Amino acid sequence: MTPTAAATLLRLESDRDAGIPCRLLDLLTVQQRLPDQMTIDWQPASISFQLAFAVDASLPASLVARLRMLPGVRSVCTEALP
Amino acid sequence: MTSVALNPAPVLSGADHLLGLLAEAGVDVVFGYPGGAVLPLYDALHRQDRIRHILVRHEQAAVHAAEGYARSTGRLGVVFATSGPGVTNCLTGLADALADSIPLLCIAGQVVRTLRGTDAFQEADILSMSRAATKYNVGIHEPEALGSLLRHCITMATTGRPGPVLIDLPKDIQALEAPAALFETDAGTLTLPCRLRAGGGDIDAAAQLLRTARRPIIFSGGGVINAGPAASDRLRQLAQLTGAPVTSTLMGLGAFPASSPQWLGMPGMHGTLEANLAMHGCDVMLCVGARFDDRVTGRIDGFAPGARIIHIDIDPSQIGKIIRVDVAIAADCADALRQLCDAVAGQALPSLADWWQQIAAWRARQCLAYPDRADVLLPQHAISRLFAVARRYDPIISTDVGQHQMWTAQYFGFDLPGRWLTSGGLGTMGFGLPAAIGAQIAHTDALVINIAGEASIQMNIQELATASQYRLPVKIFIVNNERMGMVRQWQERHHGGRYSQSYAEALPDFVRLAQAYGWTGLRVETTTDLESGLCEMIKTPGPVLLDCRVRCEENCYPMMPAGAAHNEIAVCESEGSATVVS
Repeated sequence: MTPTAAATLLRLESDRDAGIPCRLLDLLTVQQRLPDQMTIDWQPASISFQLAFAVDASLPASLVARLRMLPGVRSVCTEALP
Repeated sequence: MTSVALNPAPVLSGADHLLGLLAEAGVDVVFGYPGGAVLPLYDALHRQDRIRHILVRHEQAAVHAAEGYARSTGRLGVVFATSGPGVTNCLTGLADALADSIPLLCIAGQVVRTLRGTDAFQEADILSMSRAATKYNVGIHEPEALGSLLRHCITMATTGRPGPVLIDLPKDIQALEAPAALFETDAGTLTLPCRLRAGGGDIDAAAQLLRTARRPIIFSGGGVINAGPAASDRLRQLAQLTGAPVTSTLMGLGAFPASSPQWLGMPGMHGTLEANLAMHGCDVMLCVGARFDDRVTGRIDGFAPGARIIHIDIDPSQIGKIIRVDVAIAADCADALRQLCDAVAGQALPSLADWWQQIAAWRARQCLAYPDRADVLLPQHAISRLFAVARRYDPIISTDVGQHQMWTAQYFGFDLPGRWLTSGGLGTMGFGLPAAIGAQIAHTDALVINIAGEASIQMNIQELATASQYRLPVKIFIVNNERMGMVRQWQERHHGGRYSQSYAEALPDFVRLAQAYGWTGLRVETTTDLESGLCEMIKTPGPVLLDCRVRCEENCYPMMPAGAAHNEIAVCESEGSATVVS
């Protein structure tokens, strides 16, 4: 049996800057790594994103690093979903 | 009883405030072009004397000129453009600066806020359009945020991995008159990526690899130039400490002296045989400030097959992106190199005699040699002689894109950073002349030469007028082969010799064109006249254009064809696609 990678949840918190969702989606589109689900929670001074990626979808370390380098991004973390 | 303020706060416009902040940040030159949505900004320029404005003839050229200024000084380049077509014209330049990590600030006018989203005259959604061409962009929607956002943007452009930043500034905020405090009301927030520092463990691991290497190579890139002169100094020190050969990407030329016996030349598609074979055959590669561009790596699965790789880059997202590395150091190049020098200094290192003997054998192939021909002027000879004549003046060289760019990288030796201005990542034809103008503005007394192709120069030829207006003694050396030479070369090698649209039948008389713009125009057509033509170009005061007519069918070698590896290089015409195996 071939082991399969788990689905991945990516959480990202940023400044409240309307450009950030756009840059995030542009980057994921160029990298051909669009999520299955995406939620955006607009807070008074910040934005919280949750992106769920399908089983077998890989998120290379360089992509996660690139997300961290986006201006306005405060934190990025990933976790494997059961 | 009426109360009267004894010292009312002085009133100034948003544009006045912006210019004051720019001047306080050390900006003394701006490149731009006025228009309806920046009239308040240009009116404010007229009221002050701390910032000099250079009027270009096209906004794309404003960005390239600002790049030339920034690339040759390490300082922030600043551009003003109006809304709509003014700032859309900037997009190529911004993308160019993003690809090469050049610190730029573009301030674009926008229609007044009450007209936003109404398809107003010269309204363009430049934030959407420029998002992919900038490190960061932002619209200023309230005057209270002007001061903080401008400061954030300057910091963003110049720190970490540098890049272009765009501010979209509505006309009514520029024109709004208020006490200065109003423009500083909103402190704003912009989270910057954290500043990374080299860790001791990674430095130790890198030093250990260098200490045990038998066939090391140091491979540097534009990041070393961007990190400032200290990084270049440390690179030279590390090369001296290790005795390793050094090669640099197109963007990294000048960080290590081309006159050093440890210099191998540039690697990659048109790199030297010795640089490519040393990259292929090394056992330890120290890559510093380079991002393993496809023009350098060639076929990935054939890249440096026996090497342990150390990668230093200020941008962690570049590490491991293309090439698997053994030691990753996400840090400022100067800081990491300093630590690496400290870790290697005084250590016993293995002899590299066998390695240098192998490199000497590769060098003996003289991959850059070209025939000595009297009947026709070869472009390689023209650029070699230009280097010989100009080098004593410590010139700043800009290029456009194509064969002439590669020949210049091959035959013009750069010993210092900041002397070589070229569009590396985006490969923008039309970059060279405005970049030379920007460099000449920054270095009034320097010899600045734009080495161009006859096709590239026409993409921003209107900037001849800018140089005339400001009495800039820029020199243009056109390597004129009457073809889009690199396109023609690829069509010859990869498309069956079908030269589709790579020949422009109508070329201007460049000499008379130059004269029409107030330049001195010269032409050289033979090897015999080359030397005197070069000397006349350099010694003639003011701007000079030299149209150098070279052999039309000459190809640029060595050439690592697309999809090939470093040890699969065609070294000259007669060998065609023959491979060279180390």
